[in-house]
Amino acid sequence: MAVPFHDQFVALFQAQFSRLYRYLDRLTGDSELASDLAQETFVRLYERGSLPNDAAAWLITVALNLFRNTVTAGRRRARLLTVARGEASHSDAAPTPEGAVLSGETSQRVRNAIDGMADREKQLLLLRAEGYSYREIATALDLNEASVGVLLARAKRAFRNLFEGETDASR
Amino acid sequence: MHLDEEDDLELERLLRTVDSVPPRVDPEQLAQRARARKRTPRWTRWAAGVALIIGLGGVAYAIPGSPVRPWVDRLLAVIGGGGPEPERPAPLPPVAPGDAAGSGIAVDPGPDLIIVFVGPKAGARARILLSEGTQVRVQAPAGRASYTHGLDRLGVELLADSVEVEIHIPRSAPRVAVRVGDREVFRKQGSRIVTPVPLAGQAYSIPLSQIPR
Repeated sequence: MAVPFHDQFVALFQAQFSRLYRYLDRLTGDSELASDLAQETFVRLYERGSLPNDAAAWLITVALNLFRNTVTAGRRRARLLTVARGEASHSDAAPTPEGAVLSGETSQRVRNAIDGMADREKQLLLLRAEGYSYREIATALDLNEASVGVLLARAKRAFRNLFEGETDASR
Repeated sequence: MHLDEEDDLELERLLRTVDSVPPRVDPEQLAQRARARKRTPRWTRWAAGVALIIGLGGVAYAIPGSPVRPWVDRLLAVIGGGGPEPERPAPLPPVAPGDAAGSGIAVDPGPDLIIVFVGPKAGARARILLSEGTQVRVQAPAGRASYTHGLDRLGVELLADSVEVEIHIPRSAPRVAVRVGDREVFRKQGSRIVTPVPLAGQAYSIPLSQIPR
């Protein structure tokens, strides 16, 4: 017997929401925007009425499109949803315990390094860090799967160079 | 860990320093939101927006003296292929039944309208009447005057001597002034009339051949 779409949706949400949110949070540097984008992406999925073949890649593609639209419209802070903030009271930028251990200075250098990367490299690096497969990354970013490895290596180098440049500059 | 090489442990650790705690979101709430949207299809929301814009535009166009009206007229002129015509008079029907020689112009008075006569002619007169209408109407025998209409200015050029021009000014018009050249000869401001000529019957008769003092 086929699993109802609603149940499939809930299962996918449980498996993918945190991961998608974390990717968007790192990408945008704005936890509230990331929360809005991730939620809106799942609302769009429910509106679609069926799960796409490659659900993870679909979610990334939709989320990135929403993010581009938000940036293009100059509404980086605009609320895409009117979800009561009380429902998402843990969404504020409270650092994780690990983040709290490291100094805010390191965190700022990481943020600057991410922001300094080219968009495509940044997306590649952050998607891979979230465990997305080469195939999912290639689908989401419209790349040839065979070239993902090379591009990813380049993205890592770019991040390291920017981060170490930040570190040198701060000494 | 997900990155390929061992030293990527460090990279992953660095990336985690910028993480925030994920929000607590209920998928049922998102599903409910999606269902609510489905009940109002996107095209109807879009159509409602377009209808609202058209409605507001229509209201703005209909307001006497609205700046929207000349914009729309110019836009229509451009779309119609005639190019922009910033000053286009609107012809009026003949002054009276059977008077095929009459012509004129009718314009909204707006908040402040100035009627300017240029090229005063010997024996020419303006007969100014207050009306119950909503538009300022200027009428002269056909071929004896030409008209140009800007946003808050109506130009009347007399093309012959001894022309009598009839001007109907709505009582409701806030401010309408009549000038001959650069001299004001008549002004209606609210219910107040300022002019050097007396009321004769129901009209003010102002010579256009010379400037009254």
